[in-house]
Amino acid sequence: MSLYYNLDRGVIMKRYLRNMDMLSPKENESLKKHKVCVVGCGGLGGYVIEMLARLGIGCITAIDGDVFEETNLNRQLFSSVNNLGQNKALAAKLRVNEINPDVIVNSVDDYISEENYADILKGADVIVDAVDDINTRFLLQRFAADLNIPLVHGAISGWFGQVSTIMPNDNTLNLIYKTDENLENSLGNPSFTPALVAAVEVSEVLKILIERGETLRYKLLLIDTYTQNYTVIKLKDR
Amino acid sequence: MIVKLKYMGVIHDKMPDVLDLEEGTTLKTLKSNLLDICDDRLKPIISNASFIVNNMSASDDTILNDNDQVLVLTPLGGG
Repeated sequence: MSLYYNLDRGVIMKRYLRNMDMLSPKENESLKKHKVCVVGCGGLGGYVIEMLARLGIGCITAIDGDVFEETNLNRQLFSSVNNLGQNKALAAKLRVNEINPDVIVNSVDDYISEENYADILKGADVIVDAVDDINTRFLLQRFAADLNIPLVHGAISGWFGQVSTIMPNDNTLNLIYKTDENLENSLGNPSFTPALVAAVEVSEVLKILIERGETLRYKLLLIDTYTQNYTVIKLKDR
Repeated sequence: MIVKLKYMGVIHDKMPDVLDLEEGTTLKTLKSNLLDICDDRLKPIISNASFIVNNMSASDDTILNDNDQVLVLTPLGGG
């Protein structure tokens, strides 16, 4: 572990030097004490976990019961030709161990459900929605509210993506989705939309953890990379 | 009156960008018009879309005005 000494900043691990001064040394240090649960370790989840680990979040729970297959290679950050067939949550843990061994990763080789959510999510400071179906998103919203944990929502389809931050009992997904059915997936999932949406999700997580900045609570960021339009809409008044 | 439309998701390049509507048209009527002109396979998607008017969440009884910007938000499900 390399340390950097500075009269103003104090002692900082060298790996976090470029987090300064966007984060104060105290804030950066505080990230080590936080726990973030990422539900889904595929397109969105891979990028989210990578960015959380590089920021220095102390504990990440990576949840996914799926294994990598060839069709994931176009976008899922932790997939490679060498780990096809490997559980995605385990791959996340192995990757984070390589880039930041100070981060504790609990990998859960399972899907989130009524039966396991309390055990898996309890104690988290933030939950990140990185799943790939609307029904599970509604479940996550309910689980997060039940455990009184903020949820950062993200979803993609082809050129399009969206992000919102949902505090317990906001029920924001009810304003975004009129159905929990997956009505369309014909636009596919390219490499760039998950990366973009994941980056915004991580910025929301960070603001919740350091308790400053303006989040997307009661708002929805709509990302249209086809026309490069980025719009924040107000879903309801506070 | 003229209403400008944008679409998120699979319908983004399959629907009109501009509609000429009667004064006082509600969002419900606009939705009905879109359902009339769209391909059959898009009907369930439009039926379940959320409508945003001038960057604000809107309901079926929202009355549209000339030059309003309507965003049709289809349910994005991927991750």
